[in-house]
Amino acid sequence: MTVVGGAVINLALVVLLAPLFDGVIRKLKALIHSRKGPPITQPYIDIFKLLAKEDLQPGGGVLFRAAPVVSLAAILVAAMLTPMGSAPPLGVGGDAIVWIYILSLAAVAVMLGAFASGNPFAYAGAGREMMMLLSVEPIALLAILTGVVKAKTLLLGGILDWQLANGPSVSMVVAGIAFFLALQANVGRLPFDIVEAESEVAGGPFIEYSGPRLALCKLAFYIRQMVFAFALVSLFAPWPAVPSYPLSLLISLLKVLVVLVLVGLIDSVVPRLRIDQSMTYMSRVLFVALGAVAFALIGV
Amino acid sequence: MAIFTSEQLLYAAFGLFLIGAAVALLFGREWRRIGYTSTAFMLLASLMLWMLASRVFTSGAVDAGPIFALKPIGASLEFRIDALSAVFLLVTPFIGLVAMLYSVEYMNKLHHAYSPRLYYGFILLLLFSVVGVVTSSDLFFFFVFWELMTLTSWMLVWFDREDETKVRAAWQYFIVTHVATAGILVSALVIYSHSNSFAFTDVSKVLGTLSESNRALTHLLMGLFLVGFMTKAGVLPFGAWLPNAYPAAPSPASSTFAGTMTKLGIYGVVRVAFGFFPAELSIVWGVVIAVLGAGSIFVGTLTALRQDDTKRLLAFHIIGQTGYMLLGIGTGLFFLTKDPVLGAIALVAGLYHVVNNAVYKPLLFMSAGAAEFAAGSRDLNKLGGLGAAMPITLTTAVIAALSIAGIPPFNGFASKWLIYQSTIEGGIGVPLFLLLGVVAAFVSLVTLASFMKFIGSVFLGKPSPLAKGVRSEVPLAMTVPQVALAAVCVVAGVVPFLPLTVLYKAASSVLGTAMTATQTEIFGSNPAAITLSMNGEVFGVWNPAYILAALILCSVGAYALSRVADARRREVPSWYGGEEVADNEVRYRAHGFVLPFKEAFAAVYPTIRLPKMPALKKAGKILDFDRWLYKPVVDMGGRMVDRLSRTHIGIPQVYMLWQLIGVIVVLAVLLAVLRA
Repeated sequence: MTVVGGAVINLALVVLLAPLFDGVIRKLKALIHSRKGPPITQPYIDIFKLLAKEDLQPGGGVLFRAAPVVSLAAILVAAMLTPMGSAPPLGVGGDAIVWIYILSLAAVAVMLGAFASGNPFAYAGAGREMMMLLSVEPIALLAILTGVVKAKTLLLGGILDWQLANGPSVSMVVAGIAFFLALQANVGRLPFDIVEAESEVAGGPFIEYSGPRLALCKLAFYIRQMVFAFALVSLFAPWPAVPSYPLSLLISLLKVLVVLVLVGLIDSVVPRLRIDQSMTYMSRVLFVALGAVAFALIGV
Repeated sequence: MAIFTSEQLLYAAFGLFLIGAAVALLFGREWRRIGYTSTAFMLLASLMLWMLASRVFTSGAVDAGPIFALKPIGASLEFRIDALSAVFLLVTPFIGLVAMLYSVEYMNKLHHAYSPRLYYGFILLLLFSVVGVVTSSDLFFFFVFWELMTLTSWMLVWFDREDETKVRAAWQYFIVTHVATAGILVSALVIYSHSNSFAFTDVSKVLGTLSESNRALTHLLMGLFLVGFMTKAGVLPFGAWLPNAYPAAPSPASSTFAGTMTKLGIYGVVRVAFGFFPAELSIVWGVVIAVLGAGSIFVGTLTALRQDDTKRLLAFHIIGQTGYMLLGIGTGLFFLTKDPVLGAIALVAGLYHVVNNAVYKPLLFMSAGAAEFAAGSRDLNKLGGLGAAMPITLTTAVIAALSIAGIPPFNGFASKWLIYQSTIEGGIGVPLFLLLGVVAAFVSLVTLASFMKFIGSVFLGKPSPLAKGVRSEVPLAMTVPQVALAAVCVVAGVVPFLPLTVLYKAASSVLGTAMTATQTEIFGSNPAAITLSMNGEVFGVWNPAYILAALILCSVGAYALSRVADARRREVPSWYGGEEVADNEVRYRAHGFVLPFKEAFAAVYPTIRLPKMPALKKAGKILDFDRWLYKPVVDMGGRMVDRLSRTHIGIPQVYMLWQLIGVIVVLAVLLAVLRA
């Protein structure tokens, strides 16, 4: 019963709060741009509006129609595998590797939907999505492997417990830095919003989506943001250890908010990189992540 | 229940293969009819072998023979089917069967000009020799079957004799594999000189004593064996023939190769490295095998990403995928003595990947074949949008692509997951394996990129000019095999308990007393999940039932959300940024997919330019059979035919003159004979 209960809590958290956090980022960006900006509830309003709009389909078949559904579902499953204030509720179903691969299932769904739409912008966007995945995922993997070497388990809950029991260590701090440097790309924010890049490929994989299916894509985007932020704070900065679950959840949520505010700050002050520049940047971050694993292997 | 004894089952299967091949070679005239006849023989033989395999799993290894013995050289035709052989007896006939059913319509349409005798005859002989290789327990006859397998597959690569590049690929395959097989032969003979027997049991005994007295020689023998097997399996740098030879064979033959023959290279590696050689060699060769495997993964897959021909792309992926198997097996060999449980996990992981790969790789060749069947091309840049007319092929191709890319919950993920687990767990003690595991995980994404390109540019998107004429799905005899393989991909991924039970038995039969832990101790007590432990603590867990259930529930929820306001749906044309252009003008070609990434890794598989040396050039000329053997013979034949055709000038009088001369000659001969 705890599995189901915990899973429902995680799901409810991300579905209900992720749009709010995005609203905060939008407000923040507006303030930096000296605009008034939309109310922080604007993402909810957007989603409700889109749900009732017309659903346009350029042919494309089942894959095109199913892609946003599968993509959102995969990210929701990843949310259940993510530690939020405690060990992940679905931890009995999968470990860190499953977490990473479920998230890539979401990307695969987006790409297949893009190909199915038959739009060349979508095809270009799918290629970019693939390249981002290629350059970013190894960093996330290595950062988590640092924790695996330390905690001697692949369970995300086990890494969290180890962190709480042992306090900060050099290797985990370095791994956390690497994870943070790749976070901006993982959540699809500037300077790495190369996949959608409205001014270049007009929304990339999502160009042909409209109405309720676009609402699903947007929701998936918001939730993805929150899942990665939670992974960062739970795996690399889970302190202080609080015995009460509600309190530790509240503290984690505050930390997630701080992380997302940072993400929003970076998002509003930097221009977009080209895909090759982004890959060069990521290959450097990869060395930081490799360094973290090396530190962990020598025991610091 | 036991109508047949196990021996009879095996001999019956052998007999059915041989009779089937004889029927095809003698009476094969009409493509379809002989195709179905051969499939029937194949089905019967497969049933026998499956019954045999299930007996081995329930009641232990089966010995058969000797049928006859070559006393003077101490070789005898004996068979021993243990659980490892039984795994291959389950998988290889299944792949052979579905590929043969697939070839009925495919060959009839695309290779109608050739005679069906050779095709079906040699495919059946190939499977005959495959079964012989995995069952024989005598090194001499193992070698005989191995050689028969090479020759029959060579004939199939050579099938399309009109095309010069295909003929060259066939010769390259022939020469490279024979050079490598010579290594196995030399090894076998050296062992024979010490043991005076070819039986597997004697061989391992002799190697045990030999490693005490002459360690260097044992290492050399192991190296020769492995090079021979790895060449067949397609491990770089020995497998360079593979990307040329596989595309040259007809698609169903490539499927059969991918599902049976390359896997036997791995069978050889496991049999020899674990069964023959003593454990003292395991650490060195474990590292060698694992590193070669990881190198193959990296180079093979990154090169595959750059291919624009469907079958060539798939052939490079064989190199990459074989790397995963060897990574698992090498890790298993390395930890054989240090940490037997981890070693067993890694070995099972490698074998699991062998089985999974034997299912999805032939399926991918069938997808490529279906595209060629329907649209007549293998060029990724020219194909496109076939999925609209071919929904079944599209679905099975997507399942196969996600399987090979290791996306949950399909079977490729389960085996890759186990490989990552074992390399990571091993890597905590021996960092090299952590690095190899990370390489494998990264390249798994490259595989994904490559198959996104494959699916995206063959089946999805707007129809290309080539695909415009395609209106219907491929025939039933081609979809049934694809659906069967795709179903196995799903089941073997969602219910890992079934394959793991079988593979655990296979691993224990290879490891013998070295296997100390029970299946429950290794994979956890929950049959729905794989739970790995380290020092009593849970190390990793993969429960496809939970994840799949969560995924389905969330999908239903997401779909319900999208329909909550009951939004209207409308079909519209694609939006090209406001411009009105024909679909074909704005097609995005496969070559451009992830281009910056491809360019960054372009140097991985360089074309080696050798310095010009006259001696080498001469040697090359000598080795170039085409030039001094094949071409002169063909030219001579051509000249003869020319000369003959000069007599045919189409004037009736000349023909009458020939006839008259002929009659006179016949009469003269008759007279001469009668006189005498």
